[in-house]
Amino acid sequence: MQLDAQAAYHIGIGLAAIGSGVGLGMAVSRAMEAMGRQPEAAGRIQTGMIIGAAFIEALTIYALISSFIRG
Amino acid sequence: MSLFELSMLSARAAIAAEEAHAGEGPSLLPQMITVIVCFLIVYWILKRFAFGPILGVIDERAGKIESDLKRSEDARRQAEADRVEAEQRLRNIEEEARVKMQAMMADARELADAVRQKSHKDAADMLEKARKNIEYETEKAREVIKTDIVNLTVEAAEHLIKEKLDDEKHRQLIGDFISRIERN
Amino acid sequence: MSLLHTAIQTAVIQAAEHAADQAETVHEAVSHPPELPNFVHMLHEIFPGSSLFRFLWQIQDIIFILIIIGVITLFFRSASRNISMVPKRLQALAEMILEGLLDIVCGILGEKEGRRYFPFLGSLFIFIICMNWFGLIPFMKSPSSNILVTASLAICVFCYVQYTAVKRLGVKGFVFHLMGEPKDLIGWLMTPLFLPLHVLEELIKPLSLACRLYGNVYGEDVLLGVGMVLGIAAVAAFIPGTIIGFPLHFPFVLLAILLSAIQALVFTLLATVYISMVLPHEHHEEEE
Repeated sequence: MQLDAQAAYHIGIGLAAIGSGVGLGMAVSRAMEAMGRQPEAAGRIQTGMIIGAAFIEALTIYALISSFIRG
Repeated sequence: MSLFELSMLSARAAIAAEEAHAGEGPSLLPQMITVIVCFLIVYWILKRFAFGPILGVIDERAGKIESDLKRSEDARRQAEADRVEAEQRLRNIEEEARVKMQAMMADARELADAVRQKSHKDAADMLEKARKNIEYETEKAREVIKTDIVNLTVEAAEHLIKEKLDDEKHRQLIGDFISRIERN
Repeated sequence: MSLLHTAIQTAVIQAAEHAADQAETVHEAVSHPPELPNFVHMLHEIFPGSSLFRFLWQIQDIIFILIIIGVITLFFRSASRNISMVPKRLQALAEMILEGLLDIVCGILGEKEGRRYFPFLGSLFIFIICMNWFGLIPFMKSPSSNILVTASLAICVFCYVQYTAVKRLGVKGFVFHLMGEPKDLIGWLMTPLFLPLHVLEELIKPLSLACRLYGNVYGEDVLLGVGMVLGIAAVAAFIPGTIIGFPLHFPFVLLAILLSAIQALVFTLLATVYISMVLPHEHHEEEE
């Protein structure tokens, strides 16, 4: 079976999703640990976590957009 | 054709539509400027209707609550101070009453003492006077009695002995007699 | 088991192909996005010849933005009309939204700076969340699923941040900030390397803002559209030519409500962080 350009884009999105999924998991688990350790700082940790999660997740979105545009 | 491919196909169709749409319609710049203008309108509206009055009322309420709390705290402190003051005053009054009562009692005791002393003195005076009276009366009576006895004795002796005696000698004899009687 | 599975799969695929064919025959091939239909697009499809509806369809995002402006105005106008110390329903809701936002913004910028930049950030959040959620109303479309709109907002943020930087740091301070604020000789030697990097970073910020919001919202809308197409296909497998589909996209609506709010929050938070980066440092830390 030969890979055409379209399939390459699909696979690329999948890889990007894997990467940012792992990153998100790590970020969120650490944030939850921190919140569990310091519940009084939960608000600040959550803000930071959301910003970080947005940065991480943006990578997948970039892959998706590039697939939309080029696909 | 898989479901995934179907969905991706639809997505591609969407992109194609979007591209066609963007290419056909008004060019990008006017649309973007319109959107920015729209955002500025939203900013203005929110500033006019939301951030001004609503944040204002939130701040006002926060200020009111704070001032109310402060006022009630002040009132509480004032009441506390009043209570302490009233207690102090009550204590003062009690103290004063005690002092006054003691003073009165001392006065009364003094007065009573004075009265008692005066009455004692009066009584003693009266007793003294009475005794003096009595002594005087006794003396007087005794003199009278003595004279009477002398006279009686003289008369009786005259009668008895019928003897004319020297009056001078008589008197001396009888006086000696009476003195002897008195001494006994 | 596997046979049954394959049979069902085949049926669904056939139905989907059928539905897709039907769609293609009914509509023009390119004018069928898998997004949920909106009324401007429907008007255009019902009257294909009308140039007015065609024009309206071409500027549909702006039309929806205007509707959203109307909704926002109506909401906050009626919330703040009979404003009182004891809030009524609408006023309480508006107060809740604004206070929550103010807390978040002040948590990053500090109390004084937070209040200073809150009008811009707050209207950004309210505008974006309205745009994101607007696509979930039947026959409406999220204007933020168009990269033009998100790019315009990102440009607003970019301009505002640069304006703030120049205003707060001064022109000299701004250039110094762009040079990476060198402290020693090595820092100054690295300046030629850092200056273009920082300029590039400043330019990439709005690009990433725009792409993130557009990608998320557009992805959501496509997901909803695909879910709906599949729902129709699933019913069409049994009743050909059906007009009512199984609401397969419904779980994604719930997801979309959450993600839309989060994306609006992320856009606002990032704008806040960008502003906090260009504020004078000692001032910022003093307030922290």
